[in-house]
Amino acid sequence: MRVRVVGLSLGLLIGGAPLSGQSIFGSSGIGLPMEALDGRARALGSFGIGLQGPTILPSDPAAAARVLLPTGVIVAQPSWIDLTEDSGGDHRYFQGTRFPLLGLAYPAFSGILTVHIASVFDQSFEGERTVDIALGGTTVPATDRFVQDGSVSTLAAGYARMLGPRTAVGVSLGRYSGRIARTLIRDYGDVTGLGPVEPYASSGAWRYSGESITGGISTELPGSVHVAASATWSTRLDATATGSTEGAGRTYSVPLQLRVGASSALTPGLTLSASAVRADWSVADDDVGGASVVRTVLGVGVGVELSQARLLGREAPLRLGFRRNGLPFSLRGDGAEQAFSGGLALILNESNGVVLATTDLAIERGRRTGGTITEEFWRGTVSVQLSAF
Amino acid sequence: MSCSTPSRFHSWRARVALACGFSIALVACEDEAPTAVDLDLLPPEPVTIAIELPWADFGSNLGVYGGYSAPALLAESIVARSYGTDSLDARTLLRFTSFPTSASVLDAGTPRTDTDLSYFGGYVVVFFDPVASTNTGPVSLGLGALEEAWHPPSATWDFALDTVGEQRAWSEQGAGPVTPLTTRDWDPAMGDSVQLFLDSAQVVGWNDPTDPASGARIELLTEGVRLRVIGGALRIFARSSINPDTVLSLTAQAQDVTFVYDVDPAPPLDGMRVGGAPSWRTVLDVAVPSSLTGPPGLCAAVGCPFALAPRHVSYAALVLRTRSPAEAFQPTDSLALDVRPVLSRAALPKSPLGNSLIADPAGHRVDAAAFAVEGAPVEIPVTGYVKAFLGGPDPAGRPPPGTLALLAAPEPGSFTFAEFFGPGGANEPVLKLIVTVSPPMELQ
Repeated sequence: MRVRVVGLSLGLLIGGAPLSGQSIFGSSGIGLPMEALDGRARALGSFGIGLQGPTILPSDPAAAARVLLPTGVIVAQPSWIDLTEDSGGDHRYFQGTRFPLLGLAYPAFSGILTVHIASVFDQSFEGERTVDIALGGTTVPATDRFVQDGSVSTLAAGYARMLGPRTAVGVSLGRYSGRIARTLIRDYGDVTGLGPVEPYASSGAWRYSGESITGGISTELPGSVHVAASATWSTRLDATATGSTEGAGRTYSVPLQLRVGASSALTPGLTLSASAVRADWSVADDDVGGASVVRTVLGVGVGVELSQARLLGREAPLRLGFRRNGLPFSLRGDGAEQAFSGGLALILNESNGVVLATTDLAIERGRRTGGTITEEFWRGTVSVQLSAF
Repeated sequence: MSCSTPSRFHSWRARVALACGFSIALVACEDEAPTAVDLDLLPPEPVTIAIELPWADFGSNLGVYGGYSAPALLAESIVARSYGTDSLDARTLLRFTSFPTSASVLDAGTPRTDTDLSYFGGYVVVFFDPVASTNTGPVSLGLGALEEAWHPPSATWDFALDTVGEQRAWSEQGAGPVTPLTTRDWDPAMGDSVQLFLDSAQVVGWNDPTDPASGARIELLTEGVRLRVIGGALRIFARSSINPDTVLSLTAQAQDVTFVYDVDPAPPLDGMRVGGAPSWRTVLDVAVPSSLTGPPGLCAAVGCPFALAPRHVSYAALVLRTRSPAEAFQPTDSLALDVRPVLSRAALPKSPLGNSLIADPAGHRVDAAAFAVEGAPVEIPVTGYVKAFLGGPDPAGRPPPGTLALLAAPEPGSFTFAEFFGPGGANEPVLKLIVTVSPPMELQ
């Protein structure tokens, strides 16, 4: 059983690795932030902090302390995007799937050991331009095709434990990894009067590295109020040229990222949650080239959960949420993303009141804007959490 | 990937939910990457420029070698009489297979094999290529029977046998003497073949291909003309012993075809020659510079000296400029050129050649009209070779070939040959390069 679950998880991760991007904003700066959240957090508009119950999200390291059994979670996230520019009628549609999180938690040393593989940035996009080239008195059309395929992710190991009956703390150490490949191909097509003219290619590839540490704390306040906070500090994110890449490497400053969240039962079966994040990405302004706009981002999200709802005869909590967050890198002015979300949980297996297997589904309808660029998107999130495997 | 779920999930609802969840995710797995809206996000435009390297910058040691292959290997032959300024005379020689000894004959409506045939005459049919022949009106042809032993692979105007170890001259230059048999006019307006009729005695003499003297000679009697012969055969009339009223027309194919001619063109001292039968090859040493200091257009775009690497070369071609050959050898049909590496320059003219460096296996075809004028450019693409040269030794450590041979494809491909201007002067060979350069790919 354990082998099958791990195999399923790794298979999905590997299968998802080469897929393409989810936003044109991945072309700016270091890319589009990919928050490693599960279906529950997405449905509640949360940033993955301050949710009640045991979770193994990298954004809330203390929450893992409430995990009772060996637990694993895997998340898949398909997106469908409609891009428009200058509010015109020219629509471009694209889609992509990411597997932003694989998390494992295991009780040990009077606490919980955790391992996360999480997406951080998505950088994939394509571009094309046509040019006219003068060759010996004749003008030849050519097409420049550019493809950027890249992402940044982290592999983190952590430890969380309860400090008394109400308070938990957690810490995790992460290592950034990932790769970006940029390839430009000039294709001459059929050139009249010449034999075959071979396309010209220029490319480069860089490998990312860096370290991070995340610490968090959560506690239960009187009145069934659950609060949590976490912070992530990172070294510089280094992009080192690989192979025959002639282009220089780069190093990017990564700001301190702060998160706070809280949730509280308003009435039996109805829980309100709220969270906020802040990161001053302007520290990377000097490191990011091109026309990207770099800014400090602040995000807030709220949601409600109806925990006593049922579906197909089983408990299926319903969730609604809203979130708004700034984009650290944008193309033509400050960028922001906002989305309304909804979702539910399907309890697949439960024993003595302990949920052993659950699927959390979320669907978001949102908009990303940056200057004259607008992306309307549908984003689905499917996460499967298994315990005691 | 298996879609199995943990065995603890007894409920069918659990299985359905799990399957549905991941189905939703996988629906979107057919990705389409977002397309940039801002061209500023793309790397800087590469610079593409066409360069023509003069001969001195890439070539040296030009040489022309002749005598490769033989007319007998050509799929065509010629006949000519006092053609061109060199007064070319050329005759076609044929040796036929033995006559068919049996035929199927109808006997009262039933087919039977008759093995007792009586030959009583026939004709030699000759096929021409009217387009590649120089006449516009009728011409006269003569047919004669060879009288001396001859060796089809090596026969020339002067020699019936001309091999490394043995030479035997014709008693009369031009594959003579012959026994005259008949003459006939050929008018291209009436068709592309001519029939030269023979009587019984004339026909029977060619029914023994093992006779070293067996053969027919076709010559042109009209002066100032050159014809391209693309085939010939002997049609024999035979009477059946089963049904004497039945006249059969049988065919003896030409098992050996060659031609002899009397003009021996001297190798050009200041030019290039490719083709002909026997064939000419032009050999040159090539050294593609790995660093360019010009032309000014390149230097202005990317700076000089510029280190030329294989990836910069999108197109490379040897550009030759045509020169009209002697009229006798002026192409009347397109010629195919090939470029091959010379594997051992020291062994020239007998050096083996490597594989073709031209992408088209049929060679680079040049229209005959290019040789009717002086200085028409002919580009022979050698992109792969130039890139390999700039790339240095191959994985086995072998350096790229530095000596190339220009030759006909196939060899021989035609009696006519191509000529090009050599080094020096405005029409010298140049190496044309289309170079694309961009700054190193950088992270944005």
